[in-house]
Amino acid sequence: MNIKETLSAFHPENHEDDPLMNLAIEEAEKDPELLRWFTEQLEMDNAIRETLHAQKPPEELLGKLLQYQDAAEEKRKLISPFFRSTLQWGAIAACLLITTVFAFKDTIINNQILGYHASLSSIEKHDDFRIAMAEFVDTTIISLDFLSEGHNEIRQWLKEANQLSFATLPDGLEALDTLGCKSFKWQDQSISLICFHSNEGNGRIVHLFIKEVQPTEDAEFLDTQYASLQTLYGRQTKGWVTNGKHYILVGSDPDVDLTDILV
Amino acid sequence: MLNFEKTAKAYYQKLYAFAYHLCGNQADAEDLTQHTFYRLALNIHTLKKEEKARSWLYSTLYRKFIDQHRRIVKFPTVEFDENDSTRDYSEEQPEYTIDYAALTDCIRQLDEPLRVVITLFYIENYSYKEIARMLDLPIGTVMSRLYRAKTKLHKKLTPSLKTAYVVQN
Repeated sequence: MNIKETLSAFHPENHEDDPLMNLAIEEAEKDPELLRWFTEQLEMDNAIRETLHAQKPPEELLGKLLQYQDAAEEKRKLISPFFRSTLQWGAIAACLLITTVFAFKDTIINNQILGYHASLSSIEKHDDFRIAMAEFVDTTIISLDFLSEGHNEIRQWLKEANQLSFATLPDGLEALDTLGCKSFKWQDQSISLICFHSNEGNGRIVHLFIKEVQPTEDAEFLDTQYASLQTLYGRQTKGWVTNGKHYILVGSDPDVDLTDILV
Repeated sequence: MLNFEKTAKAYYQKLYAFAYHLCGNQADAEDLTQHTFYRLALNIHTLKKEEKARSWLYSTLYRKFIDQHRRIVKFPTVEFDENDSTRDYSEEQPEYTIDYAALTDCIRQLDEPLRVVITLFYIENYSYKEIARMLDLPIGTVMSRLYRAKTKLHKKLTPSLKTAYVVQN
């Protein structure tokens, strides 16, 4: 990496515990020409930051934003009776679950439920993948590698890039326009991500993640697990396994409904 | 649970600035900011930690931006013309600071991958490691984009900067 590239990323508040940056600064201090360039960069950074921070948003914007709190509260009130009853049933279900766990705890601890032990690694891997992809959507600004609204173009691009692609999709997904795709690595495995415009519209996205089933995983078992709808990071997730590949769907926000998308 | 009003007051200015530099006009920046906080109001019960809220806000705004923007214009990126002699920002503004409009114009001319990185770096003061995490990019790529973006901005803005520092110092 070019030393100027490293110095370009210098941040006055974030460099103290950064050996890479400290090394680059040491190099700059030995080289007068580089030091002059670096000093100019810092001056420019300060001037640009000051200029950008001096710009204020329209005065009425904060007032408009704070009104959303009330609007959202109203919306929540409209659905609260449903949630109240759901919570009551949820509490009953939790009590039953706790009672069951206590009744069978010895059996569970000894892994004597048929198939439990054999499937444990699959569950963990499956959950890791599903949770990791939900977290990915929750925390990442996704920058796509290729943009296209055509499924065939996406397939072609993934194939040419030597990335995991898809053959056929469930009808619910085939009906959605694509936005684009990207590929990345997760735990040393190649992952393909295809983004679809959701039926809910208004910028909402359905993310489809594809990963190969590993030899240590039980594909048939995973398939039954994927089919269940799980809410992670406030988003619905669902998936399936076919032809040696895991497919996981994650909505871009809580309003993306995946309930019927695989039917 | 997060406090909506506190979170809005803490982030709305920087989020608006981020939106403004992404889309390049006040009306769209306001819409993006409002959309983002509307979604926050609806989903605030799912966000438990302050540090999660910050990346959630930026991610939500950026997703909305790419969806709107790419659907409409399919990204007609403007080539950054380093030899563009039709505008000399150093003469446009007599003050000893960088002119906001000139700076905005220069940022807008950057390709989107450079624009996002430089905006997060300057406006939100994200470190290169945080930017890499948010954009899911290798650290080297973020550094390289920062370098390329800054080099382009520097070339365009140097005359006004030199004026500023000679006079001020």
